[in-house]
Amino acid sequence: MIEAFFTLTISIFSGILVGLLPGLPIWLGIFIVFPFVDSLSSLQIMTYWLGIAIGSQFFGSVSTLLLRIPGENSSLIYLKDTFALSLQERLDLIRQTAWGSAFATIFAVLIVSLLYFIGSDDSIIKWTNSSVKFSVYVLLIAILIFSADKKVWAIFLLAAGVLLAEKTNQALPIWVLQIDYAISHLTIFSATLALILIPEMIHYKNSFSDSDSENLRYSKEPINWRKIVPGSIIGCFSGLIPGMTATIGSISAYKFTKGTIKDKIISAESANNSAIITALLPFLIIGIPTTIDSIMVGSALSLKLLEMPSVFRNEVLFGISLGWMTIFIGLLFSLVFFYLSQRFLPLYIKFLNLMHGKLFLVYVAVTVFLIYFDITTNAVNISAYLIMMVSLSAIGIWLKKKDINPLPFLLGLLLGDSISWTTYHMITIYL
Amino acid sequence: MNKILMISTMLFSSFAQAADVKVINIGAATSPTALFANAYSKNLSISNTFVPAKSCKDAMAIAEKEDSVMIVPNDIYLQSQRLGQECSPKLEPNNILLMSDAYFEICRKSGNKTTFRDKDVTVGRASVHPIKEWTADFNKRNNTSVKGIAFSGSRNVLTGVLNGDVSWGVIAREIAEPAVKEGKIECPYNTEAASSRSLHRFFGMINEEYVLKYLLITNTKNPAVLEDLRRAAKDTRFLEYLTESKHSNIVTEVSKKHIDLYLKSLADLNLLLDSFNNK
Repeated sequence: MIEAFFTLTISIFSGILVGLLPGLPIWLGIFIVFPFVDSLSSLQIMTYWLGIAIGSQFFGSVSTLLLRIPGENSSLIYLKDTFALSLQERLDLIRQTAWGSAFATIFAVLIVSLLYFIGSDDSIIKWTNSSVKFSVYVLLIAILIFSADKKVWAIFLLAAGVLLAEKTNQALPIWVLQIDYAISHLTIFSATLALILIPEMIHYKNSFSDSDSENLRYSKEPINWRKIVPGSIIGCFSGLIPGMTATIGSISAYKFTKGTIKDKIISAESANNSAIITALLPFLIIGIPTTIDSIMVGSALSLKLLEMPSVFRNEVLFGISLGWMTIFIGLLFSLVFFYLSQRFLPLYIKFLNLMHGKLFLVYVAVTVFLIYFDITTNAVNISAYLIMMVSLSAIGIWLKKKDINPLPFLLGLLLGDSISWTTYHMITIYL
Repeated sequence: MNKILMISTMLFSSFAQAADVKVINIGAATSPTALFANAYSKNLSISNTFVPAKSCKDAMAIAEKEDSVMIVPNDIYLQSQRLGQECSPKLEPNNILLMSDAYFEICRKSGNKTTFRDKDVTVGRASVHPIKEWTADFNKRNNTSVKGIAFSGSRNVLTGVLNGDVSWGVIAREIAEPAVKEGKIECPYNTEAASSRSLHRFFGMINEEYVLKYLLITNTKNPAVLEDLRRAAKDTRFLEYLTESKHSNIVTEVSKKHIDLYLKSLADLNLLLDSFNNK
């Protein structure tokens, strides 16, 4: 019982932290628990993930609206608008977006549970066959490329990622295995750190604003359900688009919503919460992760020799399946974060002011820890690893300057093995 | 900048505290070998570090420099051959801490009446196995048209059998048995020569059995370290783990006879590969 309470507390705290602090993506939270996966249960991993995923969306809007610091990328879309709003208007928006986020999360959790549990064991297992997986991958790649701003770059980076991904299929041609062995110093961790975290760290600029923690009184307007509900629905669909689901959700909702700036922000914040939940569907139903954080969770579970979707359905804890437990925890977190995101606002301001100027050190410490973990848990030659890391960091910084999203490369790198397995099975079994 | 250097140094120095023995795992972090290595290392009293190695060659390179203990399953030789690499750990009774065998069940989904003699039969198997070589030999000897399909491991083979991707699956006993108890699959054959369900009793085969032979080997000359390594290999909890994982023929007092059996499994493997290459 104490352990469960501790897990929930840590998850909630981590969700708040990842949400409030700029530049800390959801997957980084999962990254950090990797060294401890061995001593964590599958429920603890899922709880931690949900805490970070849901919490980051609730608190990403708190820091954006309160201090104009985008805690999450999904809040970037309306950052400029916040300068046109008074503190009182922004405070009311925190309340409105908390309602929107809570509604959207619960709405999406109910949709996921309905879709997931409507099927029997037999029907779910059929969905895991190679033809279904192959079709899903083709669809996901098409959507990923179609939704990218720079499509040619997206195709190139995705292909490069798939080509360089580690291959576990020993039945592939020998030249593929030899290439795989030759580039074994390239790890998913190092690529992610080099292409996203390090460029982000270098480009990081503090932008603390002038919020007055003493004057946090405001008038409450009626909850804007007419924007919350459509935003939640848009987010549910956006969640199925691979990659940055929450960001795509908030951008789509912001652009589609007609009305005032406040209407657009409420809709966008509802959308990113529902998107983060429905993004779990492909992972939970057929075991295909479509976001970096779900890929990380998949990797964490695989370290314990557990696989989606079977673990979600088959693992029983306290007489309840892991699936129902996860649904329950998702709902619980929605309520907890709904409460916390409207309370203790002066405390959040104090915390962010305390962190002012120190975030760079936090990033450095986290990066050093992750590099150490990566080197010790992967079979790499340290000098070759560091050369690869420096080269990729240079590429990452260049991509950031050119405003090219490196996500397709990382998705290719992360999903490359699974894509090559699925393609191999399609060819050998069905053709 | 000083603060950054200080944090970096503190983190690295605390993590890099000297460990006495490297526990080397060859292959994926999720492989059965990794679980074996992990279960073993938990019983060591001396400080140890779990070190992954991409191939047998990489593992040997680590073992040349440090006191180490390494798990060398016989199928690792196949991977080395595919990569064109040498894999020649020194096999002597006093170097070997433990040996064990793991057999495979040959299963189909309950209610599926497909036989190996039918057309378009597919057999799923872990990709580390000599799939194309085994399938070619089996088809030649039995006049069948079985198609071998690689999977990443036995768990995925089981999923492939259940979702209809393949008609049959060669599945590690540890993973097959619970599914049999649940009535999801049936396993009329296995790869254990001594069993009444052994495949070679029903079909022509180049080798009577297919066994994954695990070998726990060390290079240490330090008597205190060696004593702890031997104690951990005989630890009740570790032996229980092996039994629960359906390992059989577990030996902790290894003699030349046991090494010969291990070498025979390699010779069997080579026989199969040669037969395929010279066809």
